Amino acid sequence: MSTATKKIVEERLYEVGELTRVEGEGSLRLRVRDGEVVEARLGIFETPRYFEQLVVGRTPDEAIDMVARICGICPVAYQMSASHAFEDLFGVRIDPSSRALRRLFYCGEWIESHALHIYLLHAPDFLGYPSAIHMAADHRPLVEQALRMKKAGNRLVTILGGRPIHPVSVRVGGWSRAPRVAELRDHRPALEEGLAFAQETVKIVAGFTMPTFAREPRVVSLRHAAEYPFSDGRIVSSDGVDLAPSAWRDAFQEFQVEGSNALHARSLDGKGPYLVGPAARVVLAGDQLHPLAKEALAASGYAKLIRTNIYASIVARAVELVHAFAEAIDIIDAYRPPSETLVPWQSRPGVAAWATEAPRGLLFHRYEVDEAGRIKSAQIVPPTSQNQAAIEADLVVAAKEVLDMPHEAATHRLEQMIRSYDPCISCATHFLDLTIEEA
Amino acid sequence: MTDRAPPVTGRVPVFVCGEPARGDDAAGFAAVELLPAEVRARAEIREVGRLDVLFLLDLPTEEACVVVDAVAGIEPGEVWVRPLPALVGRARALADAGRAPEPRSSHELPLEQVLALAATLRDAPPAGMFVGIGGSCWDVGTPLTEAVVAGLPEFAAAIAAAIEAHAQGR
Repeated sequence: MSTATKKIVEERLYEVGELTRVEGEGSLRLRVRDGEVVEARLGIFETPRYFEQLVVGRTPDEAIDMVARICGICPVAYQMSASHAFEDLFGVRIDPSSRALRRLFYCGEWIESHALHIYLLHAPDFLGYPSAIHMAADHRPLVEQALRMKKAGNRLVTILGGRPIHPVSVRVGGWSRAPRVAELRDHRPALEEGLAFAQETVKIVAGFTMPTFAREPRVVSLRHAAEYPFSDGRIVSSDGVDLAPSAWRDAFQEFQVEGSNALHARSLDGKGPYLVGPAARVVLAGDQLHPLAKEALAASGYAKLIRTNIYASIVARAVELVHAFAEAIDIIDAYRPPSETLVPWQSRPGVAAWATEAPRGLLFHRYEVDEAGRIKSAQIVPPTSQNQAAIEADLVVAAKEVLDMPHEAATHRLEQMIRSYDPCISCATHFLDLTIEEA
Repeated sequence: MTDRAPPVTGRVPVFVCGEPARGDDAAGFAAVELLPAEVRARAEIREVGRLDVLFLLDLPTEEACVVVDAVAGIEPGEVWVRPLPALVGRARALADAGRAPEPRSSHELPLEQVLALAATLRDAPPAGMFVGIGGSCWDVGTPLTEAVVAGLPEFAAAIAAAIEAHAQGR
């Protein structure tokens, strides 16, 4: 006769069917058995979008306007990655004032995106509100100030791009129209007001209680020798990657993951997940922040914690908000209209590739251009695709911190962690494989 | 699309939301094309893509607007008309219950939450109507589904009725 010992296995499931306060449609599933994570998944069920196929057969200028449609939050970055890629292939050197306007364009987009995320999407988590609506009732001045900042960003993008969402004036070789000095100067007071509130924002978010979290991820971003990275610089990592902005594929690749309509990205060296976005940029390029942003970061006390606590990305985002306002003012003060708004160019066949920094992180585009100047193939790697593996790795770490919490609070905490990445699921959703079965 | 306040034209602001390239999300844009000229003359049609709370905050307090969008979660082709204040109440009730708003939207703040946020910041819900149509396919590059095409005349008529109702007295 033998005695069998029956082990009781405890399994917990944390599930959010539809993540809220993120852009796009995704879900969270975390399964923990006997204290060990057996499944951590950011599910993405938003429908595939096929932009990489839609641009095939199109000209570079057509593609610039088409890829802007991928995202209502960061169309500027999509236009910039594409235009820089084509300009690099065609050997186009744009006017220095046009380049400054492009940095100003980025400032506008970062202001729009960061102000929205900090106050309307992420702050409610820290202040204990289920939504921005509830928060607005108790913190109305904060929300009003946030919206004024966002409006200042919208206006900047409108002045440069004709409209705040999906702007239309970027062209290969520069711009279809450059703003007058007075148009930009008129907007300066709103930017000064925004800068003051952005500085206040760093203090506010640095005062939030950050959940305990410790993981030191590999971080990847652009880095430039003389400026905070928007659309120029080299792709660098915390562990030695150093590539031209056209050479993302030398170190990284996309791959299909079962159960997700978005591709994941990984490094070819097998070192696992990596983080892109504001925290990565502040870690890798913080020395190039505007002096006012540097000062705000130092005073926040978060310069080191941004590296290891993903929840502190809200501080990195606020520091970048200061940078964007401050640099926008500097650019406007120094602005002279370009002598050549649109530099002429000639198409040539080959591979056009470039990475820029969207608000949410590194955004890589690659196009093959044929003899007729038409696109033969396209690859677009958005930041959220690159962050997905890091999100799932962080879910494993976060699980240990929530096991003792009531189920609902634990689930909410995991959602908060995912929102720390400001994921843009709509951007990330595309299939690599398209199988066509013929009858 | 613009971030400026709608011009004071005496016409009813109509915010058309959606994405013209994404299947049934283009329904609002198709429907406003069907509006009779005399109705269009009473409206300030603004194809905004997504409803930004700033658009609503820029409206004078008493000025009514019409918000047009495709919605998920109801029968494809079904026309869905609600006063904006009712949507605000619905959003608040759902938020109080900790539930995501339904019908759902993929916009970064769901449309109902944008309305509710505007209501909080304006001290009153935005006046006007929401006119929607149920959709089922949101894939990029696809046309409107048959159900939505069939529902377009009714959808356009509902938008026209909302414009007419709010144009009275201007």
